[in-house]
Amino acid sequence: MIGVQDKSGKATALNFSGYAVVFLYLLFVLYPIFWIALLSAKNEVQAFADPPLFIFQPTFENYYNLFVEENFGDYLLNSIIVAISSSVICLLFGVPMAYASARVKTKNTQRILAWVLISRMAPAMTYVIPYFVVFSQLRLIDTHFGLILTYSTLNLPLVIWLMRSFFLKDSTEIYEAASMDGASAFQTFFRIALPMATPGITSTGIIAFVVAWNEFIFALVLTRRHAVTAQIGIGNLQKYEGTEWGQMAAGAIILILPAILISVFISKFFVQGQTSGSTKG
Amino acid sequence: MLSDKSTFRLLSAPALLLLAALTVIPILLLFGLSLTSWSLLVPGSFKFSFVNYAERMFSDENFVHSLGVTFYYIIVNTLIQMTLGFLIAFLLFRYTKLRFLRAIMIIPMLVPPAVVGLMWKMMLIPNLGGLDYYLGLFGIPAIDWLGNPGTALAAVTIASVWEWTPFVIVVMLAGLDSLPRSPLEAAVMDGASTLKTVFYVIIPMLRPIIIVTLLLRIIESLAILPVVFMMTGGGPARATEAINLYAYHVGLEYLDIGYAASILVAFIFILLIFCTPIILSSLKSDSK
Amino acid sequence: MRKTVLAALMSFMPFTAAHAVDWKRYEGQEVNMICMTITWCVALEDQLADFEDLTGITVNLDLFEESAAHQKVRTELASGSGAYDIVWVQANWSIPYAKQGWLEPLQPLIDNPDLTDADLLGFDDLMPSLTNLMRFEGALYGLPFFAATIITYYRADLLEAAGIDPAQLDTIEGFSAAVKALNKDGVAGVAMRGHPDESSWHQTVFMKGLGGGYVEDIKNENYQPTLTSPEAIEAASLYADMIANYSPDGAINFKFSDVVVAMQQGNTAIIMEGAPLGGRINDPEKSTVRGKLGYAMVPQGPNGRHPAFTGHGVALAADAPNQEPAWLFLQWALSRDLTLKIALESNHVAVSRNSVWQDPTFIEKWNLPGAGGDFLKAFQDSLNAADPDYRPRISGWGEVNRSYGEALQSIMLGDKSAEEAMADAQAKAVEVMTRLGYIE
Repeated sequence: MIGVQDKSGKATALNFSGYAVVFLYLLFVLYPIFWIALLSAKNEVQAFADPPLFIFQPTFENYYNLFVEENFGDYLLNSIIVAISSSVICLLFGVPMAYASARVKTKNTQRILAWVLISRMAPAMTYVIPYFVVFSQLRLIDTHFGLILTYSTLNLPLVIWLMRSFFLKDSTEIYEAASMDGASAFQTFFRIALPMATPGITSTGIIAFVVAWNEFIFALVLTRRHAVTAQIGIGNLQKYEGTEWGQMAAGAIILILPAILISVFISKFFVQGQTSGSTKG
Repeated sequence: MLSDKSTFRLLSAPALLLLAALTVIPILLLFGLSLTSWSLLVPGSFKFSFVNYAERMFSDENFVHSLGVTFYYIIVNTLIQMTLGFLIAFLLFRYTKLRFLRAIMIIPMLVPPAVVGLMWKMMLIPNLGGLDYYLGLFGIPAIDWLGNPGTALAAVTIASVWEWTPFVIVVMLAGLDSLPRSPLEAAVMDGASTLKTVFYVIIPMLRPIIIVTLLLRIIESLAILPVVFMMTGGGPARATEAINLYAYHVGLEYLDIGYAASILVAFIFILLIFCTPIILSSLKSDSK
Repeated sequence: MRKTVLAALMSFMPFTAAHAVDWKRYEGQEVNMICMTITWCVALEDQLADFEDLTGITVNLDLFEESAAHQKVRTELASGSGAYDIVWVQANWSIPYAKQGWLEPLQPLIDNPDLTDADLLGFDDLMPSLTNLMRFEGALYGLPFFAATIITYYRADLLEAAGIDPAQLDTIEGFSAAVKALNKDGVAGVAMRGHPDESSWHQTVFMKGLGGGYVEDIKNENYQPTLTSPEAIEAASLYADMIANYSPDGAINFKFSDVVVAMQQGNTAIIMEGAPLGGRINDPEKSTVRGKLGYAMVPQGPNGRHPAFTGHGVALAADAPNQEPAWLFLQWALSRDLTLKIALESNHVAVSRNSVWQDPTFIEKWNLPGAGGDFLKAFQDSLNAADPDYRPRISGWGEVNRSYGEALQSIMLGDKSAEEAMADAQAKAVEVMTRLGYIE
């Protein structure tokens, strides 16, 4: 059955229905994105046309208004600032620990790693109420810093686990050789392990960026106006005088772009992130 | 000069301290808050009290209702995602020509959840989404999807299947790819049908991965919150409001912090109840 | 004698001159304001540039849909992040917010001649029924900009075609009979708000008109819920029946904007909606029914006529970082001239100033085209008849209101009978009131 396909009629029919299922699923996956992309280039009349329009005179008005009439540019900038800072900070904190945990294979390391994983699994809502209470006191609400801090609960475990898997791939002989040459553990880390891990750091950084970029609940509760991210900002387009569906579609397409670019980039690498690379509720 | 051991400790310390501050303290605080009747709208309500657990939760119909929705999401959404995900993964594994589709398949899980919600909301709005038009071709009348409890719940399930089935596909594919070839080939040699091979050879071999995936999907089944928030806001008539969204409404809309905290503590216990048997069964099969 | 008078005057004049408000005093500063997308705030957005020219202060006005705005204001005040200096406050919330110390008392600012131009503020010209809604324990916490009540809008042409006399709409019985008779040929009989957050605003007409009430006695602060009284159950099933069976699709989730659109599009015969929305309902560009509408007060029942009444105001957040410039802005924004300008240029008719209601240019513009009844008269009569205490103005009301609305929804959906649903709502209301210490 693997690559060996017999030619009987029954098998052909089975194959046909198999391909049909994949095709239908593909349609299900891609059609909404395709439709929203069309919608983002329609004016209001075209958007509500019955039957639905596939061929029409496209307009970029929605994209233009999104940035000129609405504050979407500010929201995007906030998202970029927060996502980049969060990724960088979590790499700075997480990579050294990932390296250490790859080198020290004790029961305690295992326990700590399990705790790191579990802390990532706790639903975001369980953190957000305490954050709301504490941040109100510390005046961290509606600040980039506050948001970046909370995103560490998502990204730090991710960085530790992903980077650890990279460091585990390095053969221990290299480190032992370095140690024989008189290099301290610090030197081994900075001079040997880090340079070798550069591709891993890049990929992990990108995943961390996407996680922060996509985050919703922390931003919903902990921002007001100065630090509002695009994920929250896009919801603000639902207002009276009729929701601006076209603008919302345009915003959605902009927010999807990193996902589409990155899906290509990380496809081969993705599986390693499977256990911790998802968003939470 | 530092010993290697202390170097490793030093390298780990900043991350561990940061993570502890950001996760252990809030969870302890959450437990503490759940034992108060603190509401930000009621002066002097910051008092120790067991009332949330002793009385309020069990007489609160909305809480009980949100539990029902929670179980629905955990069971129905997860089962559909798992079944469909396994099916598609198996087909992609089998039809090697479709390899190029794998990258495309993962797009939905990278799309921001808020956008997933908005997107499906737009898809379901009459005319705007065009869905009614296609259904109309089959003689199905227009449905006010987000206006009725049953259909709204179904709509959320569809969106969750869209968003998270790819995760199952990716993990299952990784599992399928790593299976040893010989048992599969032996099964084919024995003349076993595809269906039999799947049920008697592949699924048992994939068992550990299936269990881990199931566990992850259950734990994250309520990560659907942003999608629900954007699609229905929890309505109509709370039909799509699971326990975490209910806690959000109680805590951050009515500012009833103490009660919201106790709801979230209950949520943690529910996750444990669902996950513990699965973990135990996986440990048992490991030790065999 | 003359000399002393003169001397007194002389000494007084430089004093006043020195204390004229220096509008450029806070040049370069920013003020942040949050409001719902309500006519006045939407229109205000177009005026911000003028204020910046006058003062050099930039005002950032963030607008959100009503429920979202409520929630954002509430969490912002509770967390005191200082993100907003000026917050929108609906009359329901002025007391709870003030009680928590989340709002700045305005009297000290009003009394400060460096910061307040009394003529510009024209405080006495603001409708007292509205300013009273912004008080707590005698102190003033907000300035009202909006006077809200509801009226009936009906399609005179459809009523005539069906042989229904508009006078019939004056009683609850006649109203509901007309709704049923008009629900045909693809036209819905009625549109009202079905969304749980907003339905009590309409439902009050039936609830109180039929002799029921939400709680025992609001005036004397007896907040024992009375949602299971026979009148309350009758009102609930009447309202749910109209929405479930004689309203456009999706009506169970209608918010005010949906009701407006339902009328604008021409396939609804009667709506009961906010009088302040008259302008939008008759919008020359969006409305297909301009000129075809009649206006009347909401129907009365055996227990009288009870259009709900509320006010919207703007307040200063207690932790506001830019309080003084924000106060300058509020005075300017609520001044008579700007109120009139906004009323003439936009859809904002629910003005909070007596002088504007009497202004001939205002009357001329807002004498909306009609085919029966006089819009301004219906509006003003309703304001006079309206009841600001239709519900208790306490912090728990939001929760009670929502669960009451949800109970109505479950009747509309056919999930529960009116008796069951009201029993649930009652239990919830009792729980809330007990928890908050309003009843034993």
